[in-house]
Amino acid sequence: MITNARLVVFSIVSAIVYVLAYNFGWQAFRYYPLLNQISIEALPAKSSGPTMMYYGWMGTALIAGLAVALIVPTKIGAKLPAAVAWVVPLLLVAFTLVYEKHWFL
Amino acid sequence: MITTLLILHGLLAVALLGGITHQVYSAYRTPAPVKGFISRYGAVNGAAYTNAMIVLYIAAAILGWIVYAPYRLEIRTALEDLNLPKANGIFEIKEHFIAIGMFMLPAYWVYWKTPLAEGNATARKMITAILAFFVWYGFLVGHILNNIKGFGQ
Repeated sequence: MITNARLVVFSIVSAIVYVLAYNFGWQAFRYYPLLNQISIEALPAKSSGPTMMYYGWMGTALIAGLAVALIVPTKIGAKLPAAVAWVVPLLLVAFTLVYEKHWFL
Repeated sequence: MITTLLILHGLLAVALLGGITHQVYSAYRTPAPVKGFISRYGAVNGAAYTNAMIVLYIAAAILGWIVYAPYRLEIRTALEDLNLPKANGIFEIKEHFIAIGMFMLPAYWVYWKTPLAEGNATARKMITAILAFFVWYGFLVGHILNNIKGFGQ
């Protein structure tokens, strides 16, 4: 039961942090596919080609999710209503669609 | 090599699509006598699908992440040159959905853990439906984009 609560907390927190990460540019690292290089710092655009943040956003979310799941007392985690586990993703879907609407305007 | 990985990615996605659609249908199905194809389709033990769906989701996602870098260099650039922002937009949404779905997997596993808790039935149904939506969306978008501009075209 304790493990279950931690897993659910991880799911919720990491999903939220992923969305925050792409919204605010909180990538743990950048990946440069042209150079096949990972970098914490931004490299000069002229020589490095396109930058991929996606893996870095997931890295940020993974770290945050693990940290919070380990820190939050299991009693609190276990008290989370089950609905949070699906309402939060639904809200994140809605946010994502609004955030990406600029492609379609 | 990339084309091979992309085909493998697609095949895993097909298996995932079939499995999770079965599972979500079984989760929403009201228990009733099994008659005909439709009711047989839903009359499966949904919990038995969970671990396989998680493995397939992770495997398909990892292959997707591997082909994503060449996609960024070759396909996305071409889509920008072709002035197809909507095509890039639907892919951006796909990448977000697949990542959110990946992070939902631990909760999905918890709510499908047997013995199934009756009080978690709604969470179980909703999480599975959301994951199924992500998988269907990802599959269709991948297919559409591959039709617009495949690797090596």
